[in-house]
Amino acid sequence: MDWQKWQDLMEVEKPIRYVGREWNQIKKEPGEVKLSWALAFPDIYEVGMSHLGMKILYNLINSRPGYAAERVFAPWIDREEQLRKRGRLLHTLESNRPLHSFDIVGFSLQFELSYTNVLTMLDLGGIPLRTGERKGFPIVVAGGPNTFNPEPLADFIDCFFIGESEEMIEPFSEGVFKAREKGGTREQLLQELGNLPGIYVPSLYSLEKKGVFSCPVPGANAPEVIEKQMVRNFNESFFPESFVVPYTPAVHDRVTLEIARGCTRGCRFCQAGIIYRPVRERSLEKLRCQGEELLEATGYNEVSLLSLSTTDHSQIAQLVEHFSSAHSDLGVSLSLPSLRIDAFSVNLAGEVQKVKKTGLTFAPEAGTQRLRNVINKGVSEEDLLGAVEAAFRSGWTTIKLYFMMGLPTETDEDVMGIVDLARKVWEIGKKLAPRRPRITVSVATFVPKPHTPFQWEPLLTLDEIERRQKILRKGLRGKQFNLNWHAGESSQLEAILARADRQAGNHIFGAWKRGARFDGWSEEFKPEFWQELISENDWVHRELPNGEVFPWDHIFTGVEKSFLKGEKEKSQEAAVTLDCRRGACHGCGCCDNLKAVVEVFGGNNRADQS
Amino acid sequence: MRIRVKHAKLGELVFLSQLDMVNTILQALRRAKIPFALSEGFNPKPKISYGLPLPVGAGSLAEYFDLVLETRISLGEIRERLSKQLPYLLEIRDIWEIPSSEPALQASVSAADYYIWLKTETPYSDGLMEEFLNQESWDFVDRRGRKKDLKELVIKLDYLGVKQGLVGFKITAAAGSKKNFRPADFCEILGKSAKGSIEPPGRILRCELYYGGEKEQLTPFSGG
Repeated sequence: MDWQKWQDLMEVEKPIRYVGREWNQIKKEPGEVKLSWALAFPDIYEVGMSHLGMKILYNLINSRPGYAAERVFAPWIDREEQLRKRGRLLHTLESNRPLHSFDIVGFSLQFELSYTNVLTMLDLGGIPLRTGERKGFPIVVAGGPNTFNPEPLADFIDCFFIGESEEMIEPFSEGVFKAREKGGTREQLLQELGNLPGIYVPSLYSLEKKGVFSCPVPGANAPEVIEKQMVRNFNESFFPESFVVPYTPAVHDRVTLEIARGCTRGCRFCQAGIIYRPVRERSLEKLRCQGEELLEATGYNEVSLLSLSTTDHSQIAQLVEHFSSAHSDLGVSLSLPSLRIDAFSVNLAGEVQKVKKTGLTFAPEAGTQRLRNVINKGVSEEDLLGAVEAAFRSGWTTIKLYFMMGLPTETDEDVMGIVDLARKVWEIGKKLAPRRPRITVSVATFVPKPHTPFQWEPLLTLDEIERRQKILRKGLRGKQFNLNWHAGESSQLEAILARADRQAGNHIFGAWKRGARFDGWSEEFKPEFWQELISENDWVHRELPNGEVFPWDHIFTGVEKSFLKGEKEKSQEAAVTLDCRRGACHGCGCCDNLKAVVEVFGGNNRADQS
Repeated sequence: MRIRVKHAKLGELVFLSQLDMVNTILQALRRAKIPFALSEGFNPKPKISYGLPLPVGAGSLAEYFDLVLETRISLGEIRERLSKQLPYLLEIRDIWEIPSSEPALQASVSAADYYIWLKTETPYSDGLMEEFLNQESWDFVDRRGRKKDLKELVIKLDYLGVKQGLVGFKITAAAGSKKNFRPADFCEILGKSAKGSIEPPGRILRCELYYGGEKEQLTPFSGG
């Protein structure tokens, strides 16, 4: 390491973020690489290194001879200043080459409030920000859940991957490679890429104002609809044999096994529930092998079973039994994110944490039964209190409850419902917990998301958010409760960017120019940078008419818009829709449209199904 | 079985914090399937302890840690298995078995060797350097605001002269929980005395740790 590099790193906070050289890092000989990807995550190293999608794509691309994938994360503010001051470019961790020297730069879009970081990374990587100015530069692509409304970033991203990127990496890479061999213009290449399944190239579409939004209209050779791509035969699909092991703890530092993809519980606010349909599981056998292999390759001492609803896996009991006993002699422990709310799940969690009982988290989402029915959260107060009782009885003392505020049809009574429920949980804990219980109540503001039954719904106004938060603060005073909430302005920005059209691009650029960085980090978020966007998008606080044409209507999840509308109507009557995995098909259209099937193992092994 | 391991910390890995380094070693031990002992209780922890923490940014040829193993394994096998699972920038340099009665590293460290280099823009005259080295004391105010003399802590100092724009020193100085020489303090005092012709921060390489020194001789740990 030369003196200058050492000195640069000495000046910044947490220099290890920018060093690379981790165990299991894949570094290819330049001579053997015919196509190079820079996988870019628009947040800091510790956040990006926790993201399973990055791990999958990194190993998948590198598993192909001739292809190389390298990693790059958003530099923290001090590092960005340093790079600018010294005139240096943002580079990847593997080969230290600047982003502009790669064939493809791929961003992972997980969160609307990371959009300004995308611009920072392009700019620092030496790549012109706008798609039209990139002759001779890499193709800039983006994947991840946010691409289901790609329009806000359409000015800056050449191609969006709609759906599960694993499926598109190969044909896309092949397309870029062949085009380079053949010669030809960037426009011709984009035209060809835009006709691959699942690839959306915004520059092939013009805009037309329809109602509130400017919506894309396909040009001569552009597909009218871009259908999401998905992994079929999920059990056999690619999963990394090793993970890069960060030197400094990432947010999640453990072996993550993806036990299932998709969730059909049908919560009406949930975008993941729509875009990852249908449910596909991995088998116990497969997961055992993957777990074994990854523990050996990483040296981690924790396994986490990941899916949108972990305890819904048809073989969950066996999985928990296996992973909580098989490696316990080596000090390997198991963690279960996303617990369903019932005694079954709590007992399962009890299996996992036989010795140490850290906190347990439940997400009732709403405070009253009526409102839980509105959002189709199939949980009753009885379920919750039963689960909480089981938890306190088996020794837990810290319970976290997740709620949303500002859900459609919410009244003050529903807000007070959150207070009442938290108090009931406290009362149970006082009676049953071994020590003085602590109840954390996290209340997020509901943000309507594209492709959900609530995509037509309004966001509360800032005043109203403030007023309802006051009700909560007043109701949950006292040391036994720890109440968390989000700043209204931050939810407002998220809500606008989630459903905005292409016009938002200029505002994102403007905010970034003014200095917006890491908007998702509450201490960095500065609403004053975003005033123009906010004042031009007041629709966000209105209910949109049934016939509204959305800027994402050409992006097809497989689920029919008519189904979403039907769900919205049912929500107004507080009528529930059951999980289709267990019962009748509700005709969302997904399986038929995508010629997909639900992939479930283990049959009726679930304790609560027999 | 209790073992003592000496390893390096070089290159970009000088930016590992002490905690990061312990985690990295533990992960490598797990990959190497070396069965280390865990403490009893609700939150079992590996019985690993380091000698003297190294400041972030400093390199070392002599990081020492003690570790208790569950079962007996030959030292050769431990070394071979662990080396395969450890980044080469943390290369294992030596390994011993130590009796369980052996005092903890942290309690017995008394001195350390450091190489220190600083950038120098203008040629530094030997006369000026001599003056600095011959000063009665090197007074400074430490991080807690206390006045101190750094020179008291120096046991031996070799001035290595100026090469390729770097001015170098080899210093043996007091180290440990009672009296501890911080190379960064030395760089700062030197920088001030050189009035801008020498620029901190200095690059540091630790090359040995010692015990003893008061009644008995100063002895390097690698002596066995």
